[in-house]
Amino acid sequence: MSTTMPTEVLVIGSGAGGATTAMVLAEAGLDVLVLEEGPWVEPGSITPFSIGEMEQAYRHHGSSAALGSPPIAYAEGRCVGGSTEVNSGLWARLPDALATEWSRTYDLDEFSPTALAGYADRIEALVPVNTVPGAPPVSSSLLEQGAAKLGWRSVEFPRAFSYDERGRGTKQSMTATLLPRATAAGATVLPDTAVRRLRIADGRATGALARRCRPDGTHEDIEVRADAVFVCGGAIQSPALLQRSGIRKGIGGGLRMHPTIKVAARFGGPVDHDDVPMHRITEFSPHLAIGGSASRLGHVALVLADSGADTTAALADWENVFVYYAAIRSDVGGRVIALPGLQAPLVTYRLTDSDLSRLARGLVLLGEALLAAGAIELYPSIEGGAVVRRPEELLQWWDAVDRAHTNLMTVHLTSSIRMSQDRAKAGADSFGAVWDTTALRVNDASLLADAPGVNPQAAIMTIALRNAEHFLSTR
Amino acid sequence: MLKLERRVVADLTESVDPELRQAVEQWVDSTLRSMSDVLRLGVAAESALFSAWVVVARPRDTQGLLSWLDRSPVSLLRSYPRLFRSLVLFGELELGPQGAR
Repeated sequence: MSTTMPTEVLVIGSGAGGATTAMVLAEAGLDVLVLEEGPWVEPGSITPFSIGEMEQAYRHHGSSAALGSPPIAYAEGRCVGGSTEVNSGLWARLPDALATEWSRTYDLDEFSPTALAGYADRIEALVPVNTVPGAPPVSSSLLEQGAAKLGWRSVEFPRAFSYDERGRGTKQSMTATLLPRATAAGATVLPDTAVRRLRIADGRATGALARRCRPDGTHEDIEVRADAVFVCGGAIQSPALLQRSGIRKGIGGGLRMHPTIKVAARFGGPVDHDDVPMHRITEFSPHLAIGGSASRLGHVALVLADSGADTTAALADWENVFVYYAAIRSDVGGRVIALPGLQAPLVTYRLTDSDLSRLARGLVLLGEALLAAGAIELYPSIEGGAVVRRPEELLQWWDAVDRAHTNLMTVHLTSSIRMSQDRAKAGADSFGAVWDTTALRVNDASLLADAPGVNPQAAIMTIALRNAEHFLSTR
Repeated sequence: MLKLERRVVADLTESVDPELRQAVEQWVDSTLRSMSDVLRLGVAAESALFSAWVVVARPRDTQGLLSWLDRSPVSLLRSYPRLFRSLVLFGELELGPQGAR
């Protein structure tokens, strides 16, 4: 026996894409129901990047992996607000050059840099985006100093944060910004509710079948009947749901990410560990980005352990150690494949030899910057990778980055459906409408044509606003 | 967790504090339970294989098994001890007194 819930618009997922969609449509007067697989996590109730956050707000406790050679670990948010609740909030608009390239390559309507800038302006009026008041933390300044000594360009990125008069920051995630607006306009957000498959009848999406987990551990099956469905589960879950629902053409095949290699850098003095650096070295952007990562004790220990070297002294000195990374845009990409009988999809990713060369170059450049910033020891996330103390030793890392010993990860996943007016190139049209299925749209990271080389949240929300308003204009 | 996985976690946990040891085991257990089906099936298959290996061949103890896997030229085999070592290390440090700050 299932509960039936009628609505005008069903939005599946409440992250950057889903929250934007829900807000726009609810404020336009539509009846909107948002289903979120993850729980409601009270803002401020868990420490960022802690084990508690991994347990409560990440899918698979943050331990997912794309199979390949080498495999790539990845993390996705799974809570109300999605990955915006667990990311660093770093904010970067889609680079104009990429917008122009994507528009041309994928024959996208209304995708000029000027048009997108208008939507980005409006998103930034809804989500406070600011730089840190006063001096940035030490971990961030070190990147800036290293780049300056080498004559490289670096930028302090703004973040989706607001700051009070004392400089204390509050992240402006979806639960702090667009979801309250959506619910104020009448939208309903239902957490702990996993959509199992879409209802499709005669080529039209008519709703979804979902299962809600009650606080007492029992389940309730829900049948949602909707006039229109927006799938906004992110670049892994959205294609998997469409495939489970029988929609496979152009779905899941173009997955992109930013393969990332890390270094634990030990300095002569303490480095802050409560935040993520806002500075990034942009000298080699968009194909290579250098920045800093979450560096609680556990994160530091994991990267130190990756090298396989004796890390006893460095771990005892962990207050002086911070984790930095080099991230690339890769050549080919991967796949998301929903397997019969299994809940989670199989994710694969292929790196070319050129990608590995780019990662090696990124690692060496990262090492140069960190040594220039005053690091006294560098531990790469390569099994058996040499610990480096002087610039001339960095050359060893070129040959050390191989398929068998390199440990990679990412938090940016995109492009598994894509938009295009050319049906052969994508699973959805220029505005996210899924080809050959009426009343079904995708509106999340899976629409991006490629990994953008920067944190994707701003691009996801910009495109989601554009697409949601296009939907309203066509009703 | 399977029997071998529990033994591996116990061997890798350095703390003698029984509460912390139990918390680490629970963390690893819950993480394995929440893994995607495909990855969990792969890890479980490796655990079953290595359980048999420990019975019929040398090394007969988990430390010996992990050392042998660490030295394997096959990266898939090396990934088994790396997974458990990472989970235990992260759990032990983050759930311990320093990580609780």
